Amino acid sequence: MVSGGDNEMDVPLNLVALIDILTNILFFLLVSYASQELQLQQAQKVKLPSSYSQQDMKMATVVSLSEGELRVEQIGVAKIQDNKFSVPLEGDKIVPLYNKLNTLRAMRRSATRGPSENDDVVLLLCDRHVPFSLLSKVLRTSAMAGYPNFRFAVMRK
Amino acid sequence: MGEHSLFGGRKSMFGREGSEILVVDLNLTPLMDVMSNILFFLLASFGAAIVSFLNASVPVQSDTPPPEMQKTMVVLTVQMAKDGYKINASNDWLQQEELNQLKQIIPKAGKSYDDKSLNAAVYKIKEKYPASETLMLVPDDPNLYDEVVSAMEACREYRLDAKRKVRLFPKVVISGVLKAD
Repeated sequence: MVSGGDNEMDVPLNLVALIDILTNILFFLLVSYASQELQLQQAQKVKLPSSYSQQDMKMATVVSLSEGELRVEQIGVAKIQDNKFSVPLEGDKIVPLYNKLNTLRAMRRSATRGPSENDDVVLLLCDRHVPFSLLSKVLRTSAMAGYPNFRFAVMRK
Repeated sequence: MGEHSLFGGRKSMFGREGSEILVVDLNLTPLMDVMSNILFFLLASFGAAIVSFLNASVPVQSDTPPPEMQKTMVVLTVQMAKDGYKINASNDWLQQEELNQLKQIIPKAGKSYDDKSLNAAVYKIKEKYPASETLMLVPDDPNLYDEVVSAMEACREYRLDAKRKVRLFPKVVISGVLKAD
């Protein structure tokens, strides 16, 4: 189809099919991206271990543990020096982490008006070089605060 | 006088119009520009890293009695000792002699743990006790998180070939964490 005036040629390209394809890809990428955006933001300073696990990410209370800092929902709760937490400890309990998790749990319960599926789950973003001596304290404190279940974030191989 | 199209109509702000046929040309170029930009941004982000997760839990005190175990299941304990993996199995309904046969030590291969041998050993136990699902993993303090995840990974599934795999012990309990105060 060609139309035009006396001296110029207008060639209309049919872009509808192309826009259909682009829209499909766009929605697919948006859905995938939305579920992982938060985790990737938090994982920037954390080198995750790799695994063949193919489970899709599910949201939960995010705790990230790097070689230098412990964070809950992107807020720093404890610094780490020489593989030791530089905050008050009661035995193996990391007091600031315990308090923060308790606060978050209360906030979630009031927001959802009762217990929900992921109430007792921590999504743990832990650096691969962190020793178990540090990790065990985080696990134990989380369990004491009512979070005995964990999702260990890993990079897909 | 306005310009005339092939159909005899004049050009208007919405396209060309004839006496009976109205052809509307939408300018899609800005939409294409925006979509292309978003698409390239998302494609770049999507390829950067894909995150998955492994389930685990820690033992907690409970008033409810433990579930009754069948004779086709065992609870597997893998201890990450300094010299290698130590495997034990437990089930109150099985004879101790039978459980003792499952005990084994998988020494380190050089400086690192032998995950391949652990994977094969766990697969054999799963073949013999197919209803088993629970693994008690007992790391030691100097173990790195990467080693803990590797041990979990070795006990999670066994690959028969490129396409087929067998689920081994997906319920992982990190033990040795809750010590008595």
